[in-house]
Amino acid sequence: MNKPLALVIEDDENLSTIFEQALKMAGYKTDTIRDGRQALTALSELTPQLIALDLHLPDVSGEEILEAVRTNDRLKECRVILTTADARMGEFLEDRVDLLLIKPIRFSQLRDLAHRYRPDKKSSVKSAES
Amino acid sequence: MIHHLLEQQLELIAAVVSQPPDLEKWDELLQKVSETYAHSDVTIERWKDAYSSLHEELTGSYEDLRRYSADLLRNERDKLQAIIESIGEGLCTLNESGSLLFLNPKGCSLLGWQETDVRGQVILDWLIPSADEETTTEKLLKLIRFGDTYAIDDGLFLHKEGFSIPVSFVLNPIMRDGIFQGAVLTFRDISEIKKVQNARERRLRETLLLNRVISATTSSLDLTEVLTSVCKEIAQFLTLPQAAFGLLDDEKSNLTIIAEYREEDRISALGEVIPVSNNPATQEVLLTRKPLYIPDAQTDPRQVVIQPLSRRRGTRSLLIVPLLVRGQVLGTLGLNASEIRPYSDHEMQLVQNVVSAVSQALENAQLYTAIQQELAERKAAEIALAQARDRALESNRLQTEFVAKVSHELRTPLTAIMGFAEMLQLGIYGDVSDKQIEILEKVMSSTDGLVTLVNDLLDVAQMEAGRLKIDEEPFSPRELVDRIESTMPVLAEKRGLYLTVNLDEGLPAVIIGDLERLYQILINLVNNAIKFTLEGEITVSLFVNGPKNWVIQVKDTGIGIPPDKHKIIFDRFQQVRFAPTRDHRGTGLGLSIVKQLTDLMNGEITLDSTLNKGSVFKISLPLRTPEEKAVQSLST
Repeated sequence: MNKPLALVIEDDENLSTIFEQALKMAGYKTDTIRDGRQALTALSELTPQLIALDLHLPDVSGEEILEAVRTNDRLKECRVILTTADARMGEFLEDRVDLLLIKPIRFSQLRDLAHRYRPDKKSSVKSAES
Repeated sequence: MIHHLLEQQLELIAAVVSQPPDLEKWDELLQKVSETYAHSDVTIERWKDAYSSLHEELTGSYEDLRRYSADLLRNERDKLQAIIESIGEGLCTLNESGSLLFLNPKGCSLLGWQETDVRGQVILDWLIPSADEETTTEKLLKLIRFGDTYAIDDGLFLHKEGFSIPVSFVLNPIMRDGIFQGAVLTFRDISEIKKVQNARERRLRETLLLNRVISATTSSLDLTEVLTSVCKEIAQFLTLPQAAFGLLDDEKSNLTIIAEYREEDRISALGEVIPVSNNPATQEVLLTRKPLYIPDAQTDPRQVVIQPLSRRRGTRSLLIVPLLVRGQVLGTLGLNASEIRPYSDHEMQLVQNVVSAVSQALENAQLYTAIQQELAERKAAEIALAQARDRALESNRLQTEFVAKVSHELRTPLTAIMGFAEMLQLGIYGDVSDKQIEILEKVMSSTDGLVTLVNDLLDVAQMEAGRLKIDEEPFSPRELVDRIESTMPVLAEKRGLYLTVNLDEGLPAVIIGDLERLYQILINLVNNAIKFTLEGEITVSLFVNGPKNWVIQVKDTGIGIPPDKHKIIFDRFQQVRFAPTRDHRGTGLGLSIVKQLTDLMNGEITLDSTLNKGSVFKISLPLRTPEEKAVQSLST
């Protein structure tokens, strides 16, 4: 069975390791991208079901990547979890993402929430506690 | 023709004229005629008497009348003479060719002539010498020949001794049957009037000068400019070729000329430095603080130092007037004349008045400068204060930004610590012993504390910067209770405490407020209660208090807080160190944040505490429902 693809767009190596692990445990196959430009390139080819997106990235900001995702019809099913330390910016973008998680983020928290977003779990609630 | 008397006689005797009467009748007639004659004689005598007495009477009357007239005439003449002689004006009469007929004594005394000296002379030519060929007499008589009057208010007559007398005079023609007969000249000495007039004019000019000086001193704050225009005014007023102001230096050793007026051919004194030592004239002025008049500066021994200067400049008389400000001689005004020029009392007074006006202006200027300095200092202080305030605000802003930045930067490594610890704990990196799990638990718990600190610091910084906003959204108190129940009892139980949450049924299902911040308040209060309660229970209650308020209350059975600490516990970084607690790891920010959030929500926090019995924190908040909010926003 093909596992859904989850992209971790995060420039911090430690966090990308942790997020990838959490998403893997939530039943996704994962890929990590560390800068914004690469992320845009990847998104032109890949069709992930879930993106864990950081806001502050080199080259291209998370906000622009979010914009690219939201305006791409191919990616309309894609869930976006915004993972950021910037509460203010996060709250500003909250309406355009599926989930806002303000760092620090617990491993199990991300794992459990990502699990609910798996395409085979359509019935899962969208909202989640922070 | 018969006389009517005879006719009457005939009728009396009834005789007829045409018939000779009888003798008897004749006799009777003769008798009658005789009687008539006799009667006529008597009448004639009577008439004679009457005539005679009338004559006498008339003669007497005539004499009386003549005497009376002569008396009257003499009286009148005497009177007229007295008038003419005692009249305050000069009076003379001239014949038709202008020769003097009469000059009254007043006229004589005014002009210095005896009447006998001038009788028959063409006096007008003497009084007013003509400048051209036509004599004054000719000119004036021509003007009045046809009956006009010639009058001069302000003329001059030549006195016998050769000097001029200011006069007013009137020349009136004497006309008889339209023919010019001569003239009457009346004249009056107006020297006294002139004097009064001159004095009045002088006072007026002096007043005008003073006004100009005062106006010059007030029109500018530039000292040199003021003094220069004053020099000009006074020099021109006194018709002096040069006037100069010198100012003394602080040591009073030199006078420096800083302003002057001079006629074009005079040498400028500007910038000249006049030493005070060896200069008795200046020293005297400094000492007496009174004006000093030097009749001839070129020879006066007091002027020995500047004698050569005076000679070069052509100064003879010199008047030095001190410039006094608050009793101190600041400098002098020097008035230079090219000749020996005495100053009248009036002029001296005037010069002093002018200089005192200048002094007043200088004093004002000094005051003004002082005030300006004061204002400038105040302004500088204000600016410094504003700058300090700006710096403080800037520093505050930087601090807030710094805290935000730090908080932001801490979140990434905190996520890594928590993530890796949890992954270790979950056995993702291999088996872990119970001891390791316990240690990892401590790592995570410590990290939680750190996260709280980071969040609290950010909140405090934002509140300080006034950036923290309270949402006013509808929320369910039930949700707040659920959140507390899902997190806090576990923490309490870990400390062996029992936590209950009560929700008053009377509280509306939905009210207005900031759910996140209320949750934050509760977490802080409950954490605080857990920290300071060794055993017993913690009760969280949400209830309605009156129609307008609702209350969040956290009650514990802890160690309590001494009354003297009730106020300071809400201060930042205040951890009450009055009793041993299990856990000092708190940030010291929790209660301060609670207090500030309560203030931002227009709420009120109260503390009721008994040592070793426990504490009750009560937060009273305005109670509003969505309906009330809608009404409020409509009405505002």
